[in-house]
Amino acid sequence: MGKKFKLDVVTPDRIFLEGETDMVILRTTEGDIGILYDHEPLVAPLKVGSMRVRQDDQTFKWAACSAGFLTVNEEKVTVVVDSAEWVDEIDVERALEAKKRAESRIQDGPEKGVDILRARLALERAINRIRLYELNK
Amino acid sequence: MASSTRDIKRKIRSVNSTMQITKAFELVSTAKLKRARDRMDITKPYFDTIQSAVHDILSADKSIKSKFVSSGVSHKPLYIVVSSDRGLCGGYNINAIKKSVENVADKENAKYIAVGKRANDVLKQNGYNVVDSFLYISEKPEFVHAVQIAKTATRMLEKGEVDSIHFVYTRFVSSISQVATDLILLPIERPEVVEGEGPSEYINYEPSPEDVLHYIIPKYVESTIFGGLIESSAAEQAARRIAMENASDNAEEIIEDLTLSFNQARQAAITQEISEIVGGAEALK
Repeated sequence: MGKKFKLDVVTPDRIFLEGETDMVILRTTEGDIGILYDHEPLVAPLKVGSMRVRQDDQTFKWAACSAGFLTVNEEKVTVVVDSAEWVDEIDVERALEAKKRAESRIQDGPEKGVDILRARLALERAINRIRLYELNK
Repeated sequence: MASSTRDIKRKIRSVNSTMQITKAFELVSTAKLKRARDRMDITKPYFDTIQSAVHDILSADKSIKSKFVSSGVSHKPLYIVVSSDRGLCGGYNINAIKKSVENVADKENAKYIAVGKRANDVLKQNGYNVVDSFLYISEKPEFVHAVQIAKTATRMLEKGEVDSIHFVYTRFVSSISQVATDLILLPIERPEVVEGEGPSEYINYEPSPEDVLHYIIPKYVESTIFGGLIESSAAEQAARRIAMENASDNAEEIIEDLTLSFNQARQAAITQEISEIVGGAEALK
């Protein structure tokens, strides 16, 4: 077990996580990065994806995140995302429904006044949740 | 005489029923205020984190060029005004609306996005250009509302219809004090860095400072609007609670006065009756 650092994860409706870990893996727009103790100061945007936080027993705890960004400074790592949930909190029924809805919206196309970009993002989030759910079943 | 006591009695009853209403409102707002404050406490960290991140990036790197960073005087401002949908909350709405128009020299060039029915109605009545309005959300604002408002506003900025975005909301200083505030959302003022106190550490931006800033600024706008909406909704409840408390106090005072004059009138009537009876008895002797 490596040295621990402080990790905060905040979303608009709650403080998702406020704790310590020795390793966290996040998906930035440039690719996955793992952060260990004493990482250099960094700011990077995050993509819709997963977050893995290493627990005391060396296993990773998975969470689904939507877009946001992370900042690393000397004191701690702060992750700011629009929404986040642990894998065991994922409502897979809801995600499946959201996926269907987004797909049908994309098929309807812009003639029906659909915001394609928004539907794509919704689809991406739904697929991400389903994927993580399946992965950790 | 009898009619005067009856009049006073009617007045007391009327004031009393008004007082019951204001008391009920007061209790309702007290409960809602508590909920709004709890919500504010939950969202505050998110709001603060983004605020400080944007501040850090701008002060750390002076070479950043962006259309979102301040570059001169604004001629076509866009105001986003947060008000309530319902009245009976003292100066809450009017203070916010006043704040939003006090710096506007020319009605023609200023555009408005109204949040809440009050601002929408008042601004339209006075001939201001309300381009969009969001009604019935100000009591329970959700993040999606903030995203919608932010999108509308930034789109206008990108198209060049406006050149600055002001956000007027009511700050919740304490449960007895709320202050209407005008915040310039975009373009962002570059923070003044005090000589020799600047951040000494070198921060790495992936992929580049500009990209990060472009990514974070929309988030910054959304979260600031969301934070402002939440804070305003708490301020609204606090303002309403105080207004209703004052109304109840005044009603109590009026009832006290009226009860006094009612008793006086009643006493006068009794005295008069007695003197009439005594006078009548005297005359019979």
